[in-house]
Amino acid sequence: MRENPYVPYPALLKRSYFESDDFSLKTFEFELLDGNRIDYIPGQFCEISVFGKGEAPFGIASSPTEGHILKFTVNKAGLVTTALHEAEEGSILGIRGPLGNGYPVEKFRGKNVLIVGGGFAFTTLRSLLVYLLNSRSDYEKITVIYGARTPGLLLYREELFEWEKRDDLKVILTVDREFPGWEKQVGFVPQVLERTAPSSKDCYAVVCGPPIMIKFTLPVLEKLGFKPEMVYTSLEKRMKCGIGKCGRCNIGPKYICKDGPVFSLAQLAELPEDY
Amino acid sequence: MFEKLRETARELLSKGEVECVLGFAEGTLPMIYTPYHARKPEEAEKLVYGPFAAPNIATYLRKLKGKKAAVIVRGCESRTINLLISEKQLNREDVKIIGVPCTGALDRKRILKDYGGEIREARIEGEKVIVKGDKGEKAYVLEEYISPSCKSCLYPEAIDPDIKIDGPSRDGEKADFSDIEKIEKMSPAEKWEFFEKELSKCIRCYACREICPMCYCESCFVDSNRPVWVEPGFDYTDILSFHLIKMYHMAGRCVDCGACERACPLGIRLSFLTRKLTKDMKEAYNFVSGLSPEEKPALGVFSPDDREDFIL
Amino acid sequence: MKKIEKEKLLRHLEEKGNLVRLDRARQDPLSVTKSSHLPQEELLLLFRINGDKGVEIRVPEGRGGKILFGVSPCEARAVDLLDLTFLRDRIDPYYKRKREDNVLFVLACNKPRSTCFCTSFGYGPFSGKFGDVFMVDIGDNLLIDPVTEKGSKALEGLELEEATPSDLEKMESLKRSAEGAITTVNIEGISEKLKKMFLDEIWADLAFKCVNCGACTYVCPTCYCFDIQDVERTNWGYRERVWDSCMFPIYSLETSGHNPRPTGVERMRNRIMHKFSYYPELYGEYGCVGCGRCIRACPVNFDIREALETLKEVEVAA
Repeated sequence: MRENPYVPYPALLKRSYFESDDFSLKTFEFELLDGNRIDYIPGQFCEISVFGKGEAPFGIASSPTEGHILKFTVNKAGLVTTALHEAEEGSILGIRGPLGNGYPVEKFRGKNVLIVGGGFAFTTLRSLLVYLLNSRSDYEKITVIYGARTPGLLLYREELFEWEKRDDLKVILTVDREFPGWEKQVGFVPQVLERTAPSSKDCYAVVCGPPIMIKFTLPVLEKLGFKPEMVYTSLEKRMKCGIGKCGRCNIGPKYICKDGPVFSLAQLAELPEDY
Repeated sequence: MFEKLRETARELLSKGEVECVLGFAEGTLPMIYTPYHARKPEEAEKLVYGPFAAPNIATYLRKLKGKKAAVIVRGCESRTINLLISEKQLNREDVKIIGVPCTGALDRKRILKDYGGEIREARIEGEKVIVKGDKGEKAYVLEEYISPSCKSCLYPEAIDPDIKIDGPSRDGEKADFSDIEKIEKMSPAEKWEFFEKELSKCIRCYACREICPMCYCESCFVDSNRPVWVEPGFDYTDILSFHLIKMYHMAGRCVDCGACERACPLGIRLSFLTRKLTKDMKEAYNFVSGLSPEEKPALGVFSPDDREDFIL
Repeated sequence: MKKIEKEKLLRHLEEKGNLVRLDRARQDPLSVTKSSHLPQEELLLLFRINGDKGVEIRVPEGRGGKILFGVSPCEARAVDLLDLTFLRDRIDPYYKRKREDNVLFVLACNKPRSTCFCTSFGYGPFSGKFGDVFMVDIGDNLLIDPVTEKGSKALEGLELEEATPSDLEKMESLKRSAEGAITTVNIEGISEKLKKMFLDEIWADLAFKCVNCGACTYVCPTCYCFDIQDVERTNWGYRERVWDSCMFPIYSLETSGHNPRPTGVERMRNRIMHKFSYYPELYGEYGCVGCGRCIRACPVNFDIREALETLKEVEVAA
């Protein structure tokens, strides 16, 4: 990051495409200009600037092992995301980062890893998965459980189907209800997790998804024997500066942007319910 | 002095007729009463009313939604309740209205300024405010130090209260708009300069908005980013936009209680605007806001014989 | 301590640069010291969009420092507290530049106000350890003592006399009378206690009178929360930060519509917790200096001293 942490790097929007079949999610691939680069780890985020509209924070969906392209998948919701969705390929935008702590990938070395995702929160989980697969032999069993409302809302579908075929990785995909042509799992993520019942032995779990999914997934993990210090999740709150100054994203004395966004359940247990 | 009110409140609470009695209590600083809701009969002892009450208590009814409350009101506050009922923000059955006499709300900032030192104590004695502090004891004539809005008040007493506490009140017939007339006579350039001097003090803390019982919108135009009506920052254009658009929203809905002006930490004279609204509504439509809960908002109805000579 | 004639010192400082006099009138309601380091509106960057050639980003230059003359000890202490946020971890360059450029001439507070409660925080109206130069107005002269190197430098070239024992005696007497005029709130143990009070019902009671305007936070010399917004013009624009307030609903409102602090109760709790629990936990210092500005500016007489007393009285399970 720059010495002036408020100044974004100019970034070229190389490619953008719809990620979901309802046109609400788009993936953006950026290349930093002027030879700049961002060294990041999975789970970190950036502030993307649409100059004149403002900035908004997004988890990095690419993995640092994939080269210099930065990838984000963004839901069209507010002022900045709408402008971002309208940005044409070839536009120059701004990127500030990396921000936040990221997943504790060093701890995962030599351990089993369970990735549980829901809806469009799979972005940094993709980053993590690609990162782990890049040095597959450093980790033991990797299990991915990912669900969305409909097949068309699963992010990175083609990659998911490829990963499904691998025998060094277990990928379980699910949608909320039956769909014509869908022959994989049907059911909510917590239920599928319960049915799959991955072993908690020597296993870290990383959970990202909508609050309601998290709420029902955590008790299942507990039942499966996952200890709070072995379960990580990534939090979101309204953010502006991304560096723990502007004030608004605090949970108790911690700032999501600076001390998070990744927290273990053990860490969260120490914090007030302020999110 | 407050015995009658306290007795009434105590009775309402002990009979369980209401869950709370909303009004004011003594504050921690001189010349300021603080909003208070008594919930137990013994808490009725704390209730007070009078010139030291600065906010419009009707603002606090939003915080008591779903509760059966009695509310202690002056004329302006009772008219606010009528407006809130007509705008479907409040059910008449949910509030018991206790009317108290009103001799005007004190323009506290002006006394602080004129005293010129640190005031540590104050009390009302008849028609005077007696203050004590590091400049000794001084007396101020209340009538000279009430809010400008109160000087042009047409209805100092509560309208149709359920219970009325008697006492001396201001005379609504004495309503004085002479200083507004003075501004009306200014040239556009003079007006511009006059308002710029006043409004450029604004720090956008929105105390005037938050204290206003009629500014109850869930989201305010000034906070909108799609579209941006008012830009962030302190360009005078934006400050002026905020205050003027707010006033447009208040035409026919403002009772000119003066609470916004008394709330302003910078002492901006917002009553120049609110009183102009009051005066214009009266002159253009013979309309006084909040006289009855059945009345439709003046700018919410059309009549073929409405004045239109001011339309360019 | 040394002493000097006030006029002589002022002439010297006027020659040095941008002198801002805070000693002539009470600085209320806004804290000039805060505004001088964290202005209510501050340009972060300008950008120009050059078609497909890219974006040109420019960071504005600093405007040079100010000599703030007559800063009260509480406000000078407040800047030290701002340092904890802005000069730690990721350094804020805009703040840092002003912090380095500005010189703070602190003037002991001879006449505290009825709302002052600075002595609750382990210092007082005559504390001489804040800012760059400490001064005491003893009537005919100023007693003066540099606190930092920057302060010593600002006094270079001035002939200072030694303060006499009678000068010092005068100072002591002023100090006693000032300290005696201040009400101390005993806040011992409040930060530990607050940690256990997040879910307490008292917050609803405390927040009742608050209407959630931003007056208290804007006048507060230690409140620093800000918003960052873009302003768009044709082919160019700028990004600025403006003060924000944790009392406003949109401060924490998320695009999804979810608000983790949906009512005034949660927002009041966060404001008090930030000053009296989170700041102590992070930095070992309270985020309040007891200047009483919020008390004076509040339109509904929310008095933080009273709130602290109330919080102290609440019984919490161990």
